[in-house]
Amino acid sequence: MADALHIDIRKRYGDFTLNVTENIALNGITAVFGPSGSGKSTMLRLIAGFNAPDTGEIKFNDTVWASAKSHIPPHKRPVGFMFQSGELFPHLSVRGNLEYADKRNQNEGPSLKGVVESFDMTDLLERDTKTLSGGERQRVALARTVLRRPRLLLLDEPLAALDRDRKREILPFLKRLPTEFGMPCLYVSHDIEEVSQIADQIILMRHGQIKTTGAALDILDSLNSEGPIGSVFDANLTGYDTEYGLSTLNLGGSNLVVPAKISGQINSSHRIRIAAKDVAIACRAPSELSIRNSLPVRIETISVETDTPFALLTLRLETAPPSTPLLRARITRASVVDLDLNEGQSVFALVKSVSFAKSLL
Amino acid sequence: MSVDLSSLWLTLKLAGVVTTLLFVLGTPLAWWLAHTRSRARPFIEALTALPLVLPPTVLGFYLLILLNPEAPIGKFWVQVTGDTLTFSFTGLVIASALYSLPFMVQPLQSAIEQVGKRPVEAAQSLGASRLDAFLTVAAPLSKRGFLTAGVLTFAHTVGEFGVVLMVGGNITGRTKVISIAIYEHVETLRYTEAHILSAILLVFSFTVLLSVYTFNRRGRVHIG
Repeated sequence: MADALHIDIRKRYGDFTLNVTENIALNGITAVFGPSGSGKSTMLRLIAGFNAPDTGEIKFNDTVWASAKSHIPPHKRPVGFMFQSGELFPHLSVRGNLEYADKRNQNEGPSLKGVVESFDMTDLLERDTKTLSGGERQRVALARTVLRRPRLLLLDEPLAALDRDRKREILPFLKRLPTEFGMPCLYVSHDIEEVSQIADQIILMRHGQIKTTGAALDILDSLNSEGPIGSVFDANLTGYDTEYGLSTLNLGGSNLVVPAKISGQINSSHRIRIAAKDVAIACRAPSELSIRNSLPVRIETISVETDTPFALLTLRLETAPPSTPLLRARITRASVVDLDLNEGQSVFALVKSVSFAKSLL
Repeated sequence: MSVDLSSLWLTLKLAGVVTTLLFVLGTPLAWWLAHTRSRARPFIEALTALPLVLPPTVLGFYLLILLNPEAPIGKFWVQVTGDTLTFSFTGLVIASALYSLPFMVQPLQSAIEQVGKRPVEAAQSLGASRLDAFLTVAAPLSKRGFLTAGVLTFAHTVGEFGVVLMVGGNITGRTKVISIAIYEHVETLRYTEAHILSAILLVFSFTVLLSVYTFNRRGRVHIG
């Protein structure tokens, strides 16, 4: 059975109050998502044991980590903590940093050698930490945290200091942590793109409280009102056409063709986002069209935006199981009238190939 | 002409003992001051800094009152060891340690504050106890602070006069340190001896400070 974290805590800092009561089943990657100042990092630091709650308790399975009576210090909790800044020790080499964790945690878990290989760090070992690039630094910090051999990894905005390209370089390593090392993660971030790519579950925080928790796809779907409108799906890679450079994904029984080489094995799962503005509607199966993706859908709802020329449609994929998120299309109100679109009607959703954001692949 | 080198030896011994003692006592104090959020902190900081502003005679006077064989502490010491605290080497160590305390604590505190709590937390999150984290991360990262604190404490103890005179007096081989020996030579108009001892002290102090500044400069270039 998976480990569980029971949190029931209050902590005040001046005007800010963290007030959280939650049972977190530790499975895969759980993103703690919310704007800056919503209490995400404060909660993570309390779980790590760097600070103690004012009142309440934190329990890991049946072990009390923090309560009014006791405070287990950080080094006695089976957690690894990764800082946004990496916090590599500047007086030690890369190898020295890794051995620092390795020496102090001789319990069962991945070997130093295995971790070095897994994080592709053989060439970095003898380097001075001050000469590492931002991406290399975070990779070493992540490996060092894994060598703590913890039951739970706490990651505090590990990518926030990196640019887009570096993020893309580290994300695959993060994604593999639960499966490769058997370490569930609590992943704090305020970046919806990061979260939508790696989260299995999401804890949504606002003003020091947990607003909602749930499976990542559900929460991401409910977040649509807050960002650019779109939908997030998990799709399986089914093939790659080397001649034209097109990857094919299976999205709920329909094929999606993406003009990019997706790295990964056949049948591997990939999270994709389809923006509502990149979805068009056709009443009949289209032919002689440059858009390659047309998915049979049923119109669930039509919401007319009275203050814009647009209307937002939610569309159920005809071929997909009912639990699949809804696709969204933002088309003009005039088109809704011209095509005589109605709720419950079966139509085709045209997804422009280019709408698959590259950073998500 | 006879230069009494015993005073030089006594001075170095005193400074060595005081510096070692203050490393042991001052480090936890500096650590506490750097990290605590206790309301007592400003009081302790002010107490620690007092020797910087008080005339040495004031500190010496109170110590004399406190440590003399008629007072409880002084009496207890005599009963246990058979020796007095006043006009003895032990008394000198206590007086000098108090007087040099800020020279140890303040550089250490600012060095530890500069390292910050993050590296310590990182070490703890990797399985190190607080002491382990201090010894293996915080201390190496603040080693220049330790060097500065040690040298300042040592040099300040070497150059001390007022407190030592009040508490220790002027007993050859027991409490007569170099500054007092120089004072005595001048009082008795033996200028040659005063010249020699003064020159030794001057050259010693300059050499020590020069080596510290040289080391610190090299350290900075390396870090930068």
